[in-house]
Amino acid sequence: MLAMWLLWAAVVGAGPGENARMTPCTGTPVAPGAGTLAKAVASAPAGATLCLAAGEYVALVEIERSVTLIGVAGRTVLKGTGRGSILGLHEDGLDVRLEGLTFTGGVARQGGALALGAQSRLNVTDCTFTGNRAGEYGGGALFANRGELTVSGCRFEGNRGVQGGAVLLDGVVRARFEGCAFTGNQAEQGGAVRAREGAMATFRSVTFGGNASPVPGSALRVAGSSSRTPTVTLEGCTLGADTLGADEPYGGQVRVKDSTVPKDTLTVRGVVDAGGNVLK
Amino acid sequence: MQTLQTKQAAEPQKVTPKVDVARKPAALTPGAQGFEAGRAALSPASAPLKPASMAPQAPAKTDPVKAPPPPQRDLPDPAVVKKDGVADPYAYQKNTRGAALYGTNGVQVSDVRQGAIGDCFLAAALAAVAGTNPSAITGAIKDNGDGTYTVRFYNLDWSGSKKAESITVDADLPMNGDAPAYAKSTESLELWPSILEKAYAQWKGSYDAIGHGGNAGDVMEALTGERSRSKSTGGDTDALWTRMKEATEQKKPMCAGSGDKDDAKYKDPKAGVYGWHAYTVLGVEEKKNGDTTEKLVKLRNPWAVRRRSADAAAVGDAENKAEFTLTYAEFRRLYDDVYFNG
Repeated sequence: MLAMWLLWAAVVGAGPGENARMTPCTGTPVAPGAGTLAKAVASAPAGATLCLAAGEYVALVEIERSVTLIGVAGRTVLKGTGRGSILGLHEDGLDVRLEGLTFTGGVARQGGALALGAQSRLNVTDCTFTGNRAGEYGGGALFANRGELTVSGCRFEGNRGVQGGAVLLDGVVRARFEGCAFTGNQAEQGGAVRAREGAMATFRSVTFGGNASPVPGSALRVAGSSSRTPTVTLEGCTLGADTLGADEPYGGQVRVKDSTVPKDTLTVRGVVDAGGNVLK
Repeated sequence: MQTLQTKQAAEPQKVTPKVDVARKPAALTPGAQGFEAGRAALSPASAPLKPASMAPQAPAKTDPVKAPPPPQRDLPDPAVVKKDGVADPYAYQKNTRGAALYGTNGVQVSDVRQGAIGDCFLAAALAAVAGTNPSAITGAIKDNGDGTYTVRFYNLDWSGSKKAESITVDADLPMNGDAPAYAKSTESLELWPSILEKAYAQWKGSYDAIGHGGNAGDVMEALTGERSRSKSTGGDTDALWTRMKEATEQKKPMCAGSGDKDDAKYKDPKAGVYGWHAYTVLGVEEKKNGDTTEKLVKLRNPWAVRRRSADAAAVGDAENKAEFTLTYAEFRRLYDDVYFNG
């Protein structure tokens, strides 16, 4: 699957979040505007697919049933109201899929663009998160503390949070990021990603670059407690000049494999060299 | 790099001890015995007075010779908050003030006062649980009788089942002058908010680990062992009201979070609500007013005052009480999220 994506990206010159959908969306059409998406989601039956036309949607939506939202990559823009996550998922047992959407201007205490706070599944494909903010806690773009999160082919650019400029993984969430890019995000702790508590996450073929934080961990910073710590795996990733970091005294484990990382990375407390790494 | 500097720590303020001079424990020897000595000194005054007619008829007993208090344990303390990499200047001091776990009226919502640390989410949650289920507070703290306290928190695992975690701390606290720098009680010689905050910090690794924002729902979960969920105030307004009403009736703790501090509505002293701040929701009420029903939300600022002193002066709010009431419409205008527990 990854090889196919890379081939497609090479052919059309697309990066994460710019991948055009190969098959047309079949479902209920939704027109751009303020509040149109919330109305469409509220009236959609469980399991529905909503096809979002190109254009701007000003949105603050609580998703309370399983639904698929498909946009035109790079042209369907979900803009925050400045009053909470653009999309929030706080009900258990749901299966939500998002594809080809650009999230921007989301402002919330946690998860400016997306918040997953329930035992549900959230699958995010070919989306772009840019200029979102979490001012009180973290995850400028995305916050998750429960459930299962799968993110593939997405770009996180220029998001800000207190903990996790782009992403804050907390509680007992299980997350997987594949073929994504994190650039220009910033936070007090965890410039791009912050993983806390019992979060379990895998990053495969993910690129980090130009993310910033005043403490080590501009790419990723982990923090646990005396009773549980996060477990993160980086596989086939590129860190550029970004760093890894861990809180004292309870950090977590970051397993690094087949990745290209700055030369001091593998000696950082909590980092496990799983082999095949290239030091730059 | 510009740091975000976003969260609301409580306004530093001089704390005036409220304790009656006559009840102040006399000549406490500095050192670890302060807690027990202070409690002993306070107990006669806090015992209820009985009228003479109800005095016991039996002859007065001679007090047995009291055993010396057990040795006080001194435990490692969690590191203080770092701001831009620089540690707060608050040094730990032993409990020589004679502070006791609980004051004269036990666990009260009004006890909680956030300190100079960005953990409003924790202070608001402590007050929410104190107001709805004080036994969850008293049941969580065990006084070990040696100057230490063991606090039981809960973790909810992947399946949602709870696991108890015990954290033991002593009563040494980072002090700013003669008052605790971080969470404290509005009763100057009461410890429980400080002990719970210190144990939470110890659990998470340091005060710094909890001093950069957080989730009030997580703290309520840790105290009650029940799931927390959040709801946006921008969604279905009737459904949110129904849920808040149910939580009020069932005495379930609730908190609310305000939005972007840069929004002009949080800079208006008349509004009296600050941005990126967590508040305790004390409950909701439907008040009949002729043919209409007014929906009201009662809130509390964990700073133990509603407004910063300059703002209170600007709007002539001399009392500056922490508790205040908003209409539901105003509540939804000023708050972005509600956190429910249980």
